[in-house]
Amino acid sequence: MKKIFQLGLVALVSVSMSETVMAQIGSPFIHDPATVMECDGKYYTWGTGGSGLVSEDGWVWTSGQSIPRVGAAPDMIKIGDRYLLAYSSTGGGLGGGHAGAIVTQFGKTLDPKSPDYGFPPESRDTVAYSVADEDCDAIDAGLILTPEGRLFVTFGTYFGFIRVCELDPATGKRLESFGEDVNIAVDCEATTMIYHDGYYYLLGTHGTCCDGINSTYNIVCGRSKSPTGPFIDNVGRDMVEGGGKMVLGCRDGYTGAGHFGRVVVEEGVEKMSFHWEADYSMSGRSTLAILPIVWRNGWPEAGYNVKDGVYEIESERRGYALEIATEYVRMAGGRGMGGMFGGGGQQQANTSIPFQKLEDVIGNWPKGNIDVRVIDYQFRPNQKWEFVAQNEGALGTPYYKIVIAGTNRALAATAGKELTTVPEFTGADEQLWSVDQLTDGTYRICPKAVPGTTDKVCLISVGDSNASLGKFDFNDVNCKWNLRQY
Amino acid sequence: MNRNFKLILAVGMAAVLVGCGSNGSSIDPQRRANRNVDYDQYFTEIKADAAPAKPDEKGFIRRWTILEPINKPNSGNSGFTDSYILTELTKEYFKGQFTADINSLPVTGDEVIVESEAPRAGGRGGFGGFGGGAPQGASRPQGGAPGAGAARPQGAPQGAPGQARPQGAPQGGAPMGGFGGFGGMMGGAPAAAAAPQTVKDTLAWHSVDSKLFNIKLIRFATGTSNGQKRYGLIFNAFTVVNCEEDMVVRLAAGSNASSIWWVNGEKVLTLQADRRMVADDGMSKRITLKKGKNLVRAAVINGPGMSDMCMRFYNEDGSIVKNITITNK
Repeated sequence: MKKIFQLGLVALVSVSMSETVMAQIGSPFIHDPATVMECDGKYYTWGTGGSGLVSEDGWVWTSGQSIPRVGAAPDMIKIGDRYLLAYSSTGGGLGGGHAGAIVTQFGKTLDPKSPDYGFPPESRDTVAYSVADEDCDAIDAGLILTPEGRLFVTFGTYFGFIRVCELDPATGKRLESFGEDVNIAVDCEATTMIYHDGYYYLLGTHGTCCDGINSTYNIVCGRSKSPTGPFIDNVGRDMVEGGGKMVLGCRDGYTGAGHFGRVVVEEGVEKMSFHWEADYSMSGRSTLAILPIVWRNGWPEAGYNVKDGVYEIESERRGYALEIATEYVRMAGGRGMGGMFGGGGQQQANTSIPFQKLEDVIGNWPKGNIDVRVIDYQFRPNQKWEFVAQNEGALGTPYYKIVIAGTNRALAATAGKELTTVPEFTGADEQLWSVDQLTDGTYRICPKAVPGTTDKVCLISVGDSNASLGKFDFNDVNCKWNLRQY
Repeated sequence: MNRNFKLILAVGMAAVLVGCGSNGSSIDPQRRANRNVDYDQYFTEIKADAAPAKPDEKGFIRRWTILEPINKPNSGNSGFTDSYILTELTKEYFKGQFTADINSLPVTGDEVIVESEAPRAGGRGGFGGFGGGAPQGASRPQGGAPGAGAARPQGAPQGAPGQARPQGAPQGGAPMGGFGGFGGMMGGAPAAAAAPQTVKDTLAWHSVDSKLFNIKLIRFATGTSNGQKRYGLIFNAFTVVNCEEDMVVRLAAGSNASSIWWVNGEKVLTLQADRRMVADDGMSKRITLKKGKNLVRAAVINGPGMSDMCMRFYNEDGSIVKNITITNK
């Protein structure tokens, strides 16, 4: 972040935090959010100035407890059963001095109501710094715990190099054995590092910060086999030379993605927390956002939450479509061997065949619950599902009602971990579905609740032609679905 | 299933090409002769006191007791909707058809008399002709003309293959000829428009072990009818699954074309529509196989084309069930 104290945004953020924000599509007010953390079933983050947000479900965010230290652009990581906070003190911003410092502190819990809450000052340590006018401004900390259990912190901003040094994961203090900080990129903000499939990825933010709807903030990355680099982008350019492959920039209605943090929910389910510089639907304020991470050809990209609309729910297993098990209704016309083989129909003018409509078939559908099954997609009314986001959700996804388009007939979980559709959506928990895009781009669809069990389950293919509920396994193709629009 | 249409079309086209070609062939005649489809290549008849079988290495259940097929001369497969197959596959053709009583199961040689629609003779208009007459040596039981008996299992008990006697079937009628032209193939309703004539068949049960993972019902039909029955049929079959303890499983099946599956009298899976047989095409909801004997029944309907089925069980964790035994009583 560009020393947004100078820009006076601290006051704005503070005012915003006094409001109770009901996030729609994830838009509570914050700037430079720390990686979203889960603690005892709730989710937390903190931004520049120490302002905090909390969420009961990961979708609806409200103003939360501030962290005890006011600083710039914090980050946090869970190590064992403790939470290590890293934040920055700054020398004055883009046009000021550049004597920054990275400070770490441990805490036992993030729940301010817990007697164990707090970040004891005795654990506080300055682990990196920059002096007045060197080619680095030691702010914007980002933490990574490697698969081997080594702890690193990256830091720096637009004034020179991004650097990395190693910390002791037991104490959070600097490991002097690491030696001098290593330059790993140049002129970024909000860097952090993640590990995926043999590579370390350095993520940073390029573009213009803090300019509202005109901001061009964008998240980029390079990758390396070592946490000390070199980090090379997709065209072979070193991030020390300014390289970086785009992860996320701007999307309609939202400008300026920055301050990446990664949340691994479980294998195949990853989220990125970040902020939009401006949310057009929220007066252009800076807001927290959470999107899926999709890995494509070895590079992370921001995925998509499902927009309200009508979709085919296609099984990744077979490519068949989820439908309600109603009587197949043949369509008239549009056939004839002459047409198939090219004979006899060559001289005839083509006509457009109307699609089968809901009103053509709904009269013969059973009035009560109707089972679902999976079969060839023919864009028939019993195969078209409308997703409508609700005002509650799970981490990074709203819950959706999923109904047959044009009706209120809703997909529902049943006792015994099976499926049905009920004639009317009531908003009951078993009729609410989270939809997570997975790291391979497919989707996981989970009921909020299943009657009679607390098991966490998702929509699964059973055989090619049936569907049920079962435990999610990213390596099981039965657990994955594609949502198609044509 | 009307994917069969492609096969029928291909066979038909091939026949046309052969017909248009030279009189000679470079193919060794012995190769053609080797492509027989004897009943014995597909099934081993077993006795009622046969030792229990196990699922095969992939869990498929190969031991079934199958009734010689009931005529249902559909000219196409595209009309196998939920309601149609529910009607046709739950229609009582004979007493005890739907019994769930494990102690009153028929054994090989038991016969039932069934009144069913008469197969339609001739009338293979248009492409129907492609499917009505099997290529020489391609699908008929060896032995040539119906009644030669070569396709019958040897040593079969009374009422076994070869003794199923279509009563009143058209003499010399081709097996389920008459697709009724394109309309029937492409979009015709399964049932004939005109009121069908009926015949009475004496049909026998056969306990068999399939030599393949899938039960080639079409070979069962031809082999037990001296080639008189091939298409347009309903098959009824059952097997007994023996468990050492209660087991929560899913029944996984595939069929050509449509089918309904019951476990201990409860309908657990329907495979509607025009289908190829695909392993694990459909799976039931979670069901419980009881400790002891469990009766699994299947009914399969098909018009023209290949007909077969396969079935196995999956544990709830997705593994294949193998710790069961299979008997015919």
